[in-house]
Amino acid sequence: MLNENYLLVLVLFPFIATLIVAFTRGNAVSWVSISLAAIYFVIALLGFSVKELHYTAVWYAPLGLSYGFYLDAYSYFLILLSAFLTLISLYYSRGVIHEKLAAYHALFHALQATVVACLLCDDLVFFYVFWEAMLIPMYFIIGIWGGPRRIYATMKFFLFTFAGSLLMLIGLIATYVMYYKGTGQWSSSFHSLLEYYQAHPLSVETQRWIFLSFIISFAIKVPLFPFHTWLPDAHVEAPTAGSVILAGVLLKMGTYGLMRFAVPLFPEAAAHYAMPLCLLSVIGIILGALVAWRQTDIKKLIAYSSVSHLGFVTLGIFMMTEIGWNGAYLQMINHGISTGALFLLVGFLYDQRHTRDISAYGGLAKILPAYSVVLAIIAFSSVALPGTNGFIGELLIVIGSFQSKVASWGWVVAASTAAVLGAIYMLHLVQKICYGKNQDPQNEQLYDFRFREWVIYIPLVALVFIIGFYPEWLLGPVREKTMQIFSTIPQHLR
Amino acid sequence: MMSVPISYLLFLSFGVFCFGACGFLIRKNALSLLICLELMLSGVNIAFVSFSRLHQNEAGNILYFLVITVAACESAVGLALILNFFRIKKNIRLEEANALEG
Amino acid sequence: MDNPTEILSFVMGAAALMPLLGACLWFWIGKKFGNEKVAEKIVSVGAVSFMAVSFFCVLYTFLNVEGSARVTFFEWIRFNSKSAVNFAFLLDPLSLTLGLVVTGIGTLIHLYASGYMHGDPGFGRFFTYLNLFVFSMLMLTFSDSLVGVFLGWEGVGLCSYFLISFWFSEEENANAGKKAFIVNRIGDLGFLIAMCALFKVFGTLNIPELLAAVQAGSLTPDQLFWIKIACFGLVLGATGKSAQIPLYVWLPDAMAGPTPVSALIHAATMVTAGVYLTCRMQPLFLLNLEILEILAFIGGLTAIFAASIAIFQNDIKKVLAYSTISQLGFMFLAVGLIAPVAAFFHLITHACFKALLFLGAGSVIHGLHHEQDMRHMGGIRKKMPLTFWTVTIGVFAIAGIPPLSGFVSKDEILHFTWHSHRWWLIMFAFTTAFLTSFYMGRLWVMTFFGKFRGHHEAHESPVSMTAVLIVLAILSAIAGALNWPELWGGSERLNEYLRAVVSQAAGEHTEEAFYSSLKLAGISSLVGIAGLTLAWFRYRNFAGEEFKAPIFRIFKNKYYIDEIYDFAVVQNLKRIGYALWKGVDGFVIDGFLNGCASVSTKASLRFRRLQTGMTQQYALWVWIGFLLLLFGAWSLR
Repeated sequence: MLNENYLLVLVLFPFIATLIVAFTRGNAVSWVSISLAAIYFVIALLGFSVKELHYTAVWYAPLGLSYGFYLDAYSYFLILLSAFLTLISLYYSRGVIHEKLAAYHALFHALQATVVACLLCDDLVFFYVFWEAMLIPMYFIIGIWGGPRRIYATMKFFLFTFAGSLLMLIGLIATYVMYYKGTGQWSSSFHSLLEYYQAHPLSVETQRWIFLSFIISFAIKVPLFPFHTWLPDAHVEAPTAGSVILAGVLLKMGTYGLMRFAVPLFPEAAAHYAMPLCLLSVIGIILGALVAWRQTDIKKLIAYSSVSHLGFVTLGIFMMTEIGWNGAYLQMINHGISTGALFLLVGFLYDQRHTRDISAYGGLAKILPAYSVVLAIIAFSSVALPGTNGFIGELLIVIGSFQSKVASWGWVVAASTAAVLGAIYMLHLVQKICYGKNQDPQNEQLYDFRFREWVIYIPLVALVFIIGFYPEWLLGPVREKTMQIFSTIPQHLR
Repeated sequence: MMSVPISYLLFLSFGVFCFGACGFLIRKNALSLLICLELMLSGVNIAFVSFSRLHQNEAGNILYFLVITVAACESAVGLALILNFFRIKKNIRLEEANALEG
Repeated sequence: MDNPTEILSFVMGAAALMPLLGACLWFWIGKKFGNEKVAEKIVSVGAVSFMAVSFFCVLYTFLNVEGSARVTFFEWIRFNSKSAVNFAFLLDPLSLTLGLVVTGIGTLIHLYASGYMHGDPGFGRFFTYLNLFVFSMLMLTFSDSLVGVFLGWEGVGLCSYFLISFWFSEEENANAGKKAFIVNRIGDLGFLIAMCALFKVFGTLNIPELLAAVQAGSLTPDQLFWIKIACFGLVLGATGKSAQIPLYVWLPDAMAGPTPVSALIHAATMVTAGVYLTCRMQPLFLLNLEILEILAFIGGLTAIFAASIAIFQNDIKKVLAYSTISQLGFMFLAVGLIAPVAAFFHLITHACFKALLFLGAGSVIHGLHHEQDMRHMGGIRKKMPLTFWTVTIGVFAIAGIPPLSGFVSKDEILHFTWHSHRWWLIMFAFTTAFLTSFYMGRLWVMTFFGKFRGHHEAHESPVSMTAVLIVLAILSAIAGALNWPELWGGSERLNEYLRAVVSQAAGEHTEEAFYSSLKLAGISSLVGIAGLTLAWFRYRNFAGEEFKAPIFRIFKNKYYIDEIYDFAVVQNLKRIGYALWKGVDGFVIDGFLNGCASVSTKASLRFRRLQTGMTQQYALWVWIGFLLLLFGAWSLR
């Protein structure tokens, strides 16, 4: 069986891959990078049967710092998703990106490295370091290979998330110091902190302040309304692969942080703020959907749909029910798959026509039949049609939230209108792109899926249906983990 | 051996330092500024040595050597800077060295 | 495979999977062979035979299941350690009856479609959607959990979307499909809420467990409240799928799809899903009689409302569409009056005669080279005799001429309405019966009698189409025997069969009841004949003139409901979306942030003056700072 060293491999491999790719020159870059990503994906797959792994080594004992890594269902599936999406987006970038190829690929591997380290680390200091480090590769990916307004977008992206991170740093320090005050020892290991705070909860007042500092950082990352405006700009300017990773992986770090750190450490405060946060989620869900409908830029439409979908995730989390949490986690994965695929599909058109204006297209179902089929499948997965992955997540969230004591069921009804609104904007998109008559002779020249695209989309579409019809392989481990977390949350807060 | 009170020495040190500092603030010539800097360092050095005497240990003396070394380095770098500045501006008036104006 | 349950699960699995498998195959074959005749042959033979297999599987199950049975395939979604949802079929009278209708009519319509769609470039695609539809419909019918039903429920909506916008090059068709899907989604929202509420109360979504828990009784007021919410949700869902007020607007537009689709999906099967669902969940509704009352009222109102619009339509398919809405209203009326068997009976007969009428209309459209306007038809009974005679049977059946099937089933609903003593409903029901026969007579006369007013020479349709028409005509004629009232010497077999799962007040067997029922039957058949006769005299010599009075404009324009919805809902939503985008996101949030940015820019413009570039000035600041610190330390001493 796999032991703790597996964790080290998991953490270190992408760093090494980054170095290797960075120092590769010439035509080999793409292939070296893609095969490294593929190897990493396989490595990540190996851990499927692992339930829990823990690794610790001392870093600086007097201050209780350690190299602690911890793998469980929550981190595992996100790592798998990250490895999968990185592989796919690097494969996609082959032949699309030509300038500064080595840097491009290296940055993606670096992103992967920081994300994985952030997901795995058990040490709050480490967590903070990688949380910040994640920004840097994305900053460069958008800033160098991005669109015309990339400087504005990167500034906005960086300032938003960085401002949030600094607040979180305060919260982290407070958590760390409070532990010292209570026990007389320094420790930044998440597990010892968790144990301690469960046995000796902080006063509600203190919890609230610390929780707030955490929540703002996570909310910006998610992004929760009203911190979401950086997302459309960043997505629009990012290169396709960057959008895929941004939507598919980076946004999930916010919700992951909520589920892993913020709520388990400070359940009282979470319960206290749950209601307003649910309200924000519901607003985000509806606003995202309505605004998405009015967009003419396809990427912006998808970005706003992300706001809507992630609103569902946060709703599921803050409604504080087990079923809701399972749904929220599943929805994170689902969103990674379907939104990632949607961005790739937009990229497919953009690479040929160099426009993302929705009105430039029309009647493509005749010209690009295979493309249209895949687009329809992914769109309906995003709309949460039963039989696709989106449905399972949304159903669990809605059913879970409905039972919640946090907020009235009317809010759930309000959130569920997104099912209708989602259909509106997604069908709008599909119709404008695929249906109707083609008005633009340029569209006649478009080529349909070739081998390369099939390699990309077959796994994505397969995942849509695999999760849609047999979610248990993912849901099972997650459910156990959620149960474990909920067993530590006081009964009256759920 | 007659021992000079520590306060005298400190006054001397302070005086030399102030002399250097005032010079630094009012002189226009870069070379004078450099000399003023050296003066300030000397003032500090006097303080170090006097404390070393007072406490009867060698820490102050050691620090004195350190400061002297720094001062030497600094004057070397400073002179080089002034030389280059002169090459560009054909003078060494410090008002003209304002490229960093915000 | 000796175990009967195993056999059942194999057979039912095959019944559901054949269409799904077909859906995957036809798309591929259609693409692979392009537009060649070979591909068409393979697809049409394949699709029809797959459907036939599916039908026989359901038939086998129907014959072999005593009472009810459950077969489980695999676990789908697990909510928590206690409850999960399976892919499992609940085989009971209700589902098997509908299953037979779906696969039976489905097979016939597949056969018809193979003739109708001949030569269409999207032949394979068409059968893909059609088979996928049948799969979803079977899931809807047989699933033993609400989530499974929901899978089918949304699945049929999806297929309906694809099929309505089948000829997607026309923006109009694509819009109609989108409208259908979105309006259906509003209903699905109700379904979703109902599932949530029921899960909250019972902690499970499996239908048998739910119903058992409801019937066990002893529910707290709180639970009853949630059940009421669930019932509301289900009613909303049913009105969406079954095109009732207020969500009926999508069905007339749905006629943009090919005619076999209209027959299968928008007349015979999918739109009856709401009726099926309300019958299936009847125990819940029995706890909330006021909701049943609302349901009956919705049904009655929709019936008369749609019928009044149907009279003024000139598109033959639109007439039939409004007629479908109206007939579905009848079914809901029956469900609302706790007569689910009557509703189901009407569902079955309606499936036969409405499919017949649609396919007949399709045959006419086909024969007239895609002419759908009745003003350009007329006098084609000689040219298309088979179509004429079969449609005639359909028209007479729906008009309620004894002893055709429509008469029997409609009479039963009228019977229940009459005995409910709700005058509004009675008025609605009888007026609708009259209007129905009138507009059907109008359709019949305008199409087949009088002078030919069209442009193309009519021709009879191919055998594959007319054969189906004949079979359906026979079914429409004799389906009444299924539930011929006992009072009139029948056996009420359907009643007997369905009573195991749904409850309906039993009829009396007194002499008085016999006479009153005869009286009622007399009235209803008179009403039917009157409508037909009136239509005959009004339209026999139709030459293009129509109702001119301005009052009729409101009917012609369908009470302007589409316009009102568009104005009140769609435009406002668009405006809100735009306002949220530009207002909230652009102005408030980004405005605030950009404001912060510009404030700090301005502040830094001031502060940069401190940076003079003069080394000595910096030194002065340092010096002053040092003095201040010194002073501070001194004063704090």
